[in-house]
Amino acid sequence: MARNEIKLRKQLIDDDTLQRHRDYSLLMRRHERTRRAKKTKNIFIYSLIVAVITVLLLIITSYFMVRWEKERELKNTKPAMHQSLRRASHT
Amino acid sequence: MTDAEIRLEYEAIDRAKKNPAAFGVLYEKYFDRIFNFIYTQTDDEELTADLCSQTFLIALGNVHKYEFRGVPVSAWFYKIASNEVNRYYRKSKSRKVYSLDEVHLRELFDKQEEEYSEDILARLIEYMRDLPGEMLEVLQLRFFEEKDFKEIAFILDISESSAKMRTYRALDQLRVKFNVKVKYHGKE
Repeated sequence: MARNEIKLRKQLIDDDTLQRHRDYSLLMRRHERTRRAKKTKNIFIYSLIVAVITVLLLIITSYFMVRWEKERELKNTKPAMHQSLRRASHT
Repeated sequence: MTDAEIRLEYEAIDRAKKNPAAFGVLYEKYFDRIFNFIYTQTDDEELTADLCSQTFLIALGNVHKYEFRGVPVSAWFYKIASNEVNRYYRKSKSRKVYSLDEVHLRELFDKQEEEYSEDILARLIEYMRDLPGEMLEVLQLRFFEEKDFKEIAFILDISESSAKMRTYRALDQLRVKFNVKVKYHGKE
């Protein structure tokens, strides 16, 4: 099978055809639309990144808060335990 | 293209960087050439219109990134157009079509011992059917679009020596197989 398909044209593309497809205002409109879409996409991506970072920060903070709270509780219960043990040994 | 003309185009690009509406000058100037260039590789008017519009849209969207590379601005449009056409063929997985205009093709050949005939044209088409795509691209740019090797290298993202090598190899094969000589004055 041949690699390419070669065709022969008897004439060049006429001016009317070119004129029909030449439309700079349409190009500008498409450009504006694309630009807006790109901007919206960028805003969405940045917002998503900020949201993900915020959620991660919240998770990390809450993890450390819970750990700190547990350590505090443990510290509070330790002296009480020591006292009860000492009392038990005296008796 | 003279240096002054190239400079004028760069000024137009600089204006377009600040105000996209200024891009219109370049659009009007190169629309026909880019349309023809794409049409030669698709043979489909509507598809050509789409790809051509896409080419200028990409150019307009990236005009702020454009840097001087020592070639006319048109080479940048050809490069985008060529990429778009290749992308279309890669996506559609179809065989590449080259629709060459006969008048131009006839003009390109110098008659030698053999009479230039329908037979030689048919053999030539047969030969071109089996040419690798990259060789056809170089030939199209060199002889139909009249680009110099520096521009061809820029458009196809190859070195200047590769562009020359591909052209000469294709021309040598033409000479050997068909005894026809392409009008080539070694312009670089």
